Amino acid sequence: MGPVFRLSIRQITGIRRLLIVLLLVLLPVLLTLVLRLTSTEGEGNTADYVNGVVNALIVGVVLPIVMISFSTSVFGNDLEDRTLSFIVMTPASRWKIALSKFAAPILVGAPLVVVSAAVSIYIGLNSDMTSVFAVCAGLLLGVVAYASVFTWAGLITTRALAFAIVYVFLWEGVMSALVPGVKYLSISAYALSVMHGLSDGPLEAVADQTVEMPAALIGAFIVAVAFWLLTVWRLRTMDVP
Amino acid sequence: MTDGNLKPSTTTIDVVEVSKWFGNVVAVNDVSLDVSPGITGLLGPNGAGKTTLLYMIAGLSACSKGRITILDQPVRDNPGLYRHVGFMPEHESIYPFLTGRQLVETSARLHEVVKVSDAVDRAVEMVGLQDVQDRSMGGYSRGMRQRMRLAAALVHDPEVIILDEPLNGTDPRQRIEFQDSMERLASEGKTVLISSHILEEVETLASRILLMLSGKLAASGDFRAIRARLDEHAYQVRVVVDRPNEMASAIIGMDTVDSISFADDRSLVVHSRDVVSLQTSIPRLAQERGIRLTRVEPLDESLESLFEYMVEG
Repeated sequence: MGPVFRLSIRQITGIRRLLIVLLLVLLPVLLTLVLRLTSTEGEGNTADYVNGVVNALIVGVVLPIVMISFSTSVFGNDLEDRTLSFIVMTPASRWKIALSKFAAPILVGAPLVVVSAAVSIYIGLNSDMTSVFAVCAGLLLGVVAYASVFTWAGLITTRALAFAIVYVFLWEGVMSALVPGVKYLSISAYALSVMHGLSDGPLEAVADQTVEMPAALIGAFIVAVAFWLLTVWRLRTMDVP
Repeated sequence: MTDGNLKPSTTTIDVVEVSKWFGNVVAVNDVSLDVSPGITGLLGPNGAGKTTLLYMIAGLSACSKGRITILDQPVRDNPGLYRHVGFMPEHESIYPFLTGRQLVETSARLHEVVKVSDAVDRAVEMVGLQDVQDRSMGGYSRGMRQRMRLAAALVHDPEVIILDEPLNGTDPRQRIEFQDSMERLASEGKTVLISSHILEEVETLASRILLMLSGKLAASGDFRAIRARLDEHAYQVRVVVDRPNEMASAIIGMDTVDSISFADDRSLVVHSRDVVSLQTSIPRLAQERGIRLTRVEPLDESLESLFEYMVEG
């Protein structure tokens, strides 16, 4: 672990932020428990659960909000506190700095999102391990892609939070539903597609919001690499405040 | 990119016809200068463009025009150069969750220092903060933060040291210690470039100064030669007393006084080329004559007026 990575981890793991994120990732677990205790089993209920908890809550809210929280602040804190010069006035290559900054929110965010989802799905879908693994794999893909986009956003603007929220809720939420082609440019659609592609059981309920699995994998890879490269380029050319 | 074996020429920092503008605002206007080993002061009032120039020299900000090299290497997009450069910005950028020692240690690791612990010990000792090095940076006083940031900037033993207003928040004793440290570094052949808006601060530190005003280099060279030019200019001092006529007749006899004018019925304005002597003599003269002295204040001793004079002259 390099010093930039360690610094970044400490920057984004303040107690207040962690507490808020922990509360957020507990939501699907709590909601699943409530649903499990109050509803009867049936095919319709399973589809409702997948659409309501997996799609709308975990993929639609928990995943992006957790990654917004960690990724936008990984450079955002440096810009706000004016500490960026401390790490860029060093012999470290810009691509290494960008890689460390990209990796930190993944390392912190992925376990939280994945464990929360795994526990929820395990309880909500009757210990169906195939679905658990499929959801976890899809979420990991989403974590990496969101981390790349939001880390870049945190470096190019002090309003990264607003940018990220507009992207997630307007582009992925509204536009994706209205314009079918938009899901090919949607990280949440990539995540859902991997989930759906790896498990054809209960997760069939999200089929209409997915793209082909290869398209999802390639799309997520391109997004992650492209925005990491944009971050490197920005670090090389920007005026450091 | 640079390797670890740079061979500096006499000029370590070379700034050639550099300008920087933000939209329609010109922050630095066609500045050319060179800096050699030793201590050089970058002097100018707030807003003169010192920080903008330092950021360009440090490679943190791109020039709109011109070029800058340090140790004959371009400063932009050249991370390897930072093995040889230490920079401390003016703003108090700190990581409040780190202890002082951790900050210096992190800087050492970022600069790929081989013997980290030894280097950190040396840097912390240089700024005299061994006793508080394990305390959180968030709990430091302003002066302590400045000193620990200085240690972080120097931990990799750079050849070129750029410090933006390093004495902000320090007390007189710390200033003397800082001066000693800088003189020691200069005697080792290092290049130290220090910016300040306080004339006296630079006077005690640097033998060579660069004067900036309104984004331009107004003067450069030996401090005493520039100071001598400044001393040709008559300063104005306002003296508030209960008997201005008597005070005026006492002051007019002084060799260093050029003229006196009455501002109102309780104050007079004295024009003098030696404001320090004037300010020490006035209280004595007033006491000898039983005159009640309320205030002595220089009207134009600020850097701005000195610089204006230099530019107009």
